[in-house]
Amino acid sequence: MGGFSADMGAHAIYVWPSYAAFLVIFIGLVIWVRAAGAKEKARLAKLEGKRGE
Amino acid sequence: MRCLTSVTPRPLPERGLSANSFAMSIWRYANPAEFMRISAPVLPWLTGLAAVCLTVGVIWGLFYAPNHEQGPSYRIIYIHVPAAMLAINIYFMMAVASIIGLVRGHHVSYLAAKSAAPIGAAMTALALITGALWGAPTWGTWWVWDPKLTSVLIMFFFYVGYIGLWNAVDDPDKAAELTAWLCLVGVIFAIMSRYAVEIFDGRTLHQPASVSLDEEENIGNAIYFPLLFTIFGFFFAFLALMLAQTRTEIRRRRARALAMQAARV
Repeated sequence: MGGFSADMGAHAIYVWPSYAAFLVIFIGLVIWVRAAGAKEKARLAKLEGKRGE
Repeated sequence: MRCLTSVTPRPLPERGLSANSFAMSIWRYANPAEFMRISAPVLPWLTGLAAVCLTVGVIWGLFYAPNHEQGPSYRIIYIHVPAAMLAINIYFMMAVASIIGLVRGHHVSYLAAKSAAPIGAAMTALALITGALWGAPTWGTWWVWDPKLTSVLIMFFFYVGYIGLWNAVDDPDKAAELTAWLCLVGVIFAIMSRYAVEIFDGRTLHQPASVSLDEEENIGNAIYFPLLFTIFGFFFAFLALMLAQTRTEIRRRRARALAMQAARV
């Protein structure tokens, strides 16, 4: 394993946007899955509550 | 076609020690209740493994992996290779799930394919973006109409079309069947995305796979190990996201059935 280096030189304009795209896409997917899950869970709980009345 | 909107889950197959008990043990996960029961404890483990592998792989690859003759832009492979592998393999997984759905009518298969599609589309987009960012300094161009790149782009359109078709058709039974056929039509582009370099016998700008089961064909170990971490991280992350989204789709299906039942009363 080499030593720590964050110097991307002239290639920085290609490397950092790639990792930024990775972060944006993964964080977006996590937010989407969690938000959709919470919404459907609440909707189902409401409907099952109504059914139980 | 079997109904996707029934409220009552199908009975579980018996868990005996019969000759086909292995097959039965697989098919019982097609029962939504069983799927929900099994997937709940697995999810946190997959999420944790994904977080650890991605953190280690990205930090190792980006900051600690040795320099390469290509220059620092080679570090893009730690994102590009796993994203491209997932983009293609998710499509194959969706195709298998679609076939199971069409042949056996297991709606969890359809829902798993539906849940995987946006993740596959996102991975394809990530592979295309990082591929362009890698190609600019390495090939001197952001894009070429190379068979491999073009196949990946068409596969991306199939992902988008698949998601669009699920949303465009109101009847979930009809949507499941139509999207399954659409997915199977697009398999040719997933195969082309994976094997274009071999099919065109190296006459493509894109190089052969960076990772192989044959150790001699692999890139150097110091570059290879962080790549393994990101590959496993991407796969664990996909499994966690797909399971979580399939659970949501099962709940959505049940909520729809309850709403329809309430409307009939």
